[in-house]
Parts: sequence; C-alpha cells; structure tokens
Amino acid sequence: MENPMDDWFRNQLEDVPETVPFSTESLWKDIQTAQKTKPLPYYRWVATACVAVLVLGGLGWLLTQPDPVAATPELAQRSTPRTTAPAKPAMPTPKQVLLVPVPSTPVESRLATVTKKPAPQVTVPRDSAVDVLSVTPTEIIAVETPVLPLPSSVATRPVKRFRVLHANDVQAQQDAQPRLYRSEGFVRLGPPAADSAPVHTPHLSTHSQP
Amino acid sequence: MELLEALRKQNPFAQKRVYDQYVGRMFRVCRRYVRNDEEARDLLMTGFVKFFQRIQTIEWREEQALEPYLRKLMVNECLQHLRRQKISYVAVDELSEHQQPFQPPDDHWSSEEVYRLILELPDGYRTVFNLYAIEGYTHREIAEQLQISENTSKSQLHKARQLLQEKLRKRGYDYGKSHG
Repeated sequence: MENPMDDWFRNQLEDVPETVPFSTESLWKDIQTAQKTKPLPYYRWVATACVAVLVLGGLGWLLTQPDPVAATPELAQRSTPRTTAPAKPAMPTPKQVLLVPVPSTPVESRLATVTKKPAPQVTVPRDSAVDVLSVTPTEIIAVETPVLPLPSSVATRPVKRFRVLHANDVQAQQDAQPRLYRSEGFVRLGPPAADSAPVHTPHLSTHSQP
Repeated sequence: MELLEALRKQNPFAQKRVYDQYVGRMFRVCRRYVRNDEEARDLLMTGFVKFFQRIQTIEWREEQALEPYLRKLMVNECLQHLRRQKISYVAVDELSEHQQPFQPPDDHWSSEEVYRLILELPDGYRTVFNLYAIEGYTHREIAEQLQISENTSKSQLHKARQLLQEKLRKRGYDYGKSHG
C-alpha cells in the first residue's frame, strides 16, 4: 500500500546532491589494494586438503604395517632380544671420554693358535666370532681352529681397536706406568759405558797395521 | 556492452569509470543506514570490491542493470553490518495511536534537509523506514533480513513515520498551510 509520506521522502532523496565527505581517490586506492589481496580460490584449498589427506593416509598406512623383522621368523630369531639395560650405579657424569687404542694381535694369529697340549675336540661355529674371542685363553689353546682364508692385507695388518675410558682411568693408567724421561735432557759425565764403547775391528782398521 | 565486457575482464579503467559514476550515490545509500561517515566509507569499499569480483560471474545484458545491482549489494552490506552491531528493534504495542494524515509540504524543503531528517531517526526506525519506504522491501522481506517478526517491522515503520512528522512539524511544516 503506497503511502504519500513515503513517496514524498523517496522523491526528495532522489535529488540529494551526491557529495562525498572524504577523498574518493584514497577510497579508490583502498579498493584496488583490497582487490589485489584476494583470498585463495577454492581449488587451492581443495589441492591443499588433498595433499594433507595423502600425507596423513601415508603416515597411517606406515604406522599400521607389521614389523618386517617380527613378521619373518628367521629374522626374529636372529635379531637380539631387546632387553632393558641393568641399572647402573650412581656415577658422576664423565666430563671427558677418550678413545684409547688397544694393542691387538693380527687376526690370523688370534684365529689360529696351535698348541702342544692335546685337548678334546671342540667345534666352534664359524659365524660366532664373538664366542671365540670371549672364551678364556686356556680354552683357546685347546682348540685347533682351521685358518680362515683371509686377504693378505687383512691378515697382516693389526686391527686397531678402541675402547671407551673415563678420563680419570686414563690418568690412573698413566700414573701407574714408570715415567720415562727423554735422554736428550741429560749429559753423561765421565768415560763412556762399556757397552757403548766403539768396537775395535782390526780387519777394518788401516792404521793399526804396521 | 563494451563497459560490461571490460568489467568482466577486470579492466581497471572500466572499474574506475563505474566507481566514479556511482560512488556518490552509493555513499548516500550507505550513509542512510549507518551512524557516521566512516562506517559508510568502509561499507562502500567492501561493496565495490565485492561488486568487481562478482560481476565476472553475472550475465549482464545492459548497463542500466548495474545501478540496481550495485544498490542492492550496498544495502545488503549495510544490513550485514547492522546485524553484526545487534541493533535492538523494540516492538511497539500502541499502534492504534492516532497518526495525522500526511500531506506533502511546500517546495521550500530542500532534499538535503529531508535527508538529514532520516539520519536523525533511531537505528531501528531508520533501518525499517529505509527498507520499506525507500528501497521498496515488504515487511516479510524486512523481517527475514533483520531477523525480526513482521509485526515488529510494522511497528518500527509506524513509529518512524510518526517521528518524521513530528520533526517536520517542529521545523515549520504546517498541514493547514500546505493544503489550506
């Protein structure tokens, strides 16, 4: 239902001057800036969601897969059981850990030791090298181990081994050893020692012969 | 048609031309719904940005369709803004209160004065009066837009008209002189 008052107001408003109380140019710049910073289109959101689903699905698949070692009985038997380490006594945390070379014998000499003492035949599995090394020396003496064919470079070269020592243990070892002093710092007084005297070789001497 | 095609292709020169043509008129539209010029400016900016984005997806036949579309878009922006502000539309029960029949006043009234009268109305009255009397919405549409009942819309319009008549009378409007 038309109202004369509404009509009158509507007609009056059509003639209102279109003045703007602020700079239209600054507003236009704001509009252009807002147009440049568009939100991401929907297909980008879809692509992002697909990637996220793939990543999560892959992770889930990996986590639900059975352990390959546990699934294979042979591998499960070979693998060492994971045991909890025994509780260590309370020790101060070492400040420094040194790797000390341990003098070792050549591999060949360790593996093949021939003895005079007859002993019962003990068969040692070839793949259990740890067992061979961990038995006592007397037991090793009794064993007649066939010499493994090793490359000459490996057989002759001494294996350099290291063990982890506490810094205090290293210091204790050094203190226990006799101190060796360099001879360069000493001057010998008097005649030279008998063992250090020059050896007289008559057949080489040209001046002793008349 | 060239302008519409250029707008569809996001041509900045075409956009600037449309902006220059309608910025003043659309500012007046926005200003009738909000309380100050700053709010109107913000709504104007949002409205134009949306207009330039949406115009690509609309099949325009003629340039004359631009202004009604832009106007409706601006009004919707204003209504969203008002919804965010949660303006209270209090239903008025005493609708039976007598309202004098309105007779158009003399021509000495400037359009700027009439415009100012509308701006002086309270938020609820002003919004419903603008939507019903100026934009041509029905009470059902207003109720949906503002999430109020139709009766509330009617009562707000009634009170807005009463208040406008009172303001006119205070500023010298006399029924007897108008149609003596």
